[in-house]
Amino acid sequence: MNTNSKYHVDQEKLEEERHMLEAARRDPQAFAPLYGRYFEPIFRFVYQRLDDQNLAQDLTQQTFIKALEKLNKYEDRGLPFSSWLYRIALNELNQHFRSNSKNRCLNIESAGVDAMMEEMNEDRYEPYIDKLIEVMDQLEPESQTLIEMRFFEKRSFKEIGEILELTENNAKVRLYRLLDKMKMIISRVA
Amino acid sequence: MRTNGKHNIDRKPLSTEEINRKQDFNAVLAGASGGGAKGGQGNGGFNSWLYIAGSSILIIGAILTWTLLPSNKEEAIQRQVEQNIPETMPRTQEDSEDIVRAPLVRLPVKEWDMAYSSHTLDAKKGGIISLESGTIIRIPGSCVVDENNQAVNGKVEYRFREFIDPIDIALSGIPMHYDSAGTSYYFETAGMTELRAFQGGKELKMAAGKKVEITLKNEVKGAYNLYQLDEENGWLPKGSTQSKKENTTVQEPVVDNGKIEERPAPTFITPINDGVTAIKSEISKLENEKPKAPQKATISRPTFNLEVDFKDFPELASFEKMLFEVAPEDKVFTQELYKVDWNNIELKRHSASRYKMILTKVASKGSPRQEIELIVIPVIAEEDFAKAQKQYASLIADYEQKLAAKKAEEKRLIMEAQEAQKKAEIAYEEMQKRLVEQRKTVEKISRTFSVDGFGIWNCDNPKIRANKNIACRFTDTKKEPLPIIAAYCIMPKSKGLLFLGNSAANYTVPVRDGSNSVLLLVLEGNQIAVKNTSDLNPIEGIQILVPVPKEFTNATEIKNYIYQTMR
Repeated sequence: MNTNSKYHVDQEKLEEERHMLEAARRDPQAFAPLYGRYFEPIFRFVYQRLDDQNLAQDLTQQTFIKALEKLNKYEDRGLPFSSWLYRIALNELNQHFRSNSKNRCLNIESAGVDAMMEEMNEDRYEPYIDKLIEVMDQLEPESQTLIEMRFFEKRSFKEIGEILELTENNAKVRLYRLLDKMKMIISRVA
Repeated sequence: MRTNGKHNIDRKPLSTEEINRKQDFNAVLAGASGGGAKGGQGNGGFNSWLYIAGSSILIIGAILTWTLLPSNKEEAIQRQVEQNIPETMPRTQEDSEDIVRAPLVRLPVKEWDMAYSSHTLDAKKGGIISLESGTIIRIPGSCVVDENNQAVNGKVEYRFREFIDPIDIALSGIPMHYDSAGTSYYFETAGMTELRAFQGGKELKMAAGKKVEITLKNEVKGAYNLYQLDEENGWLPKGSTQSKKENTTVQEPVVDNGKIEERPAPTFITPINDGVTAIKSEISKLENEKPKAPQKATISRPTFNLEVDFKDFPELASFEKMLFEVAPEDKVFTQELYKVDWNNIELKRHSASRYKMILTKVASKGSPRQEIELIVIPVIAEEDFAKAQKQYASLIADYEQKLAAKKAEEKRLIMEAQEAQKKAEIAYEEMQKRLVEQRKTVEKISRTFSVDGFGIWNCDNPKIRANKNIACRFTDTKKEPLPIIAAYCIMPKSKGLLFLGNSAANYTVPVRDGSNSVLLLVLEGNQIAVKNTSDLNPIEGIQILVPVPKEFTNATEIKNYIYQTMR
């Protein structure tokens, strides 16, 4: 499966980000380039889990506000700054859904479903897909996030691990266990 | 959270443009500085009234802010006036330079502005500019375009200047105040640069995607932000810079008796100078006028008798009774020519020993215009030949004497020029030796950054002004208000500069215990008044300052005065 390569940054970009962060710690205005760089990917990440653009904008803005407020606490661990932003965004989403569960929405892509079916070694046919969607609806939030990140956002396991603070291998194992579990649920239902 | 069956399949994705239209960085700044409600805290939803798509800012709380958005500018200015934090810059004197100054750059006194150094590079090749300060500017090839974004060929003039002393920055009129997230700051600098490109007197732009790398060398260590001066909006943050230690060769000036020696230019005097060129020209003219040895007339050859003005033909001066004999190679002459009553006869030089005689008869009734050219030789009849020879001998002796004198003079002038060149070469070599002796390796701090546009770039950190301030009015000893053009608080140690205002009645001067800040007032008549801020009367009110009793002609004089007299 092709992954979203825009996430992966080379050493030069990491160094450049480091300088931008230093500047932003001294001067909040200097956070603007980082905001400009990551607004779109964070918005897409948030909107992937919602059905309301305005709400997505609100939560995206809140993500950056939190990031700017906590910038002095950010530790550079050699990872892209965006992985920290994604974690903040996830937290904001989860906090919002705790009291606004009705706003949670699963945005499914057919191509992603095909990829999932392939990983599950299943043939693609409509009733199975309907069941699959039903099962996804019922998953725990962490599991849904894992599915969304892998199959609808096309992220690599490395990326998923960095965002969810797992090792790459751990992310892989969790996903495949989840797929197995979903497959079992679907066959039981069938 | 379970989705409770809420899902979309193959929802139409939003475009990048649609998403980026939702950006509102000002709202993020406002939110982070304490305004705005926090979302997702169990209150049933985020307060989206703060974020009406792409719109303006609402500030809640005790923090006083202002915004640069046009609709709030007047309010901002009013707030500023109330706080006596100046927004207006020093008023400018007439600036006739061909550099179009950014509106925010306001020179207090034109004569005190720092000069640019000028460097020429090929537009396509680019190159490296190395300055005596140690600053290095690396310019890539094809990095300039004209106002129509067309590539430029040929020579480009780059003008550059750099500032590290806050006094220089103050006197350049470049603003050092900065507003960010609703807070007003002043800058402490690790160096400011201004780089511009010109061709044919027209200012050029940097080509898209190109960057110029600048390495500054000074004593300031640590991380500093990078800012670019935008002509409309002020300072724009552009990242960060870091210092690095490195060994640099520094050239000290050569000093003799307390005076810095001027270096001789590396181009030398050549033996061919103006004096030599002039004498060579005289010799050439004289040689053209060398008297001709008289020639005896050939009996069988036809001749013409012609009066000649020796002013026009000085070489014929020895031919007093001169005839012009038709040359053997002439094919035109006939005896008939003697019968014609010619209207005009003109003589011209033809070769070293030959002349051309042009005979002209104008047209008349019954006869057309005639013009005949004969090749002739000046000769002397036999009976006059001896006398002509005598005359020639005298003339040639005189000629040779004159020629010898001029050649002697030429030799003398060449020797003089060669002596002068030798002296200049020796002086240059000696100076080069002394310069080498005056070089030393020092540990310097360097700072490298890249700029993607021409203009003014700063390595600065924003600082908040001191909480303790004194409200002042500045007068002279007679209690007359000082004629202030601009007032500054200079922090030499931290290289900070705070602009206090211009032409105002009242000023608010910050005071930090233990700091070595200096109050600098730029006065009319190219004068200044200075005082350590710690010497100001701590009780608000009238502060008496005595203008320095001299007119300063440049920033160096002002800096020398301040650093020598102030603590």
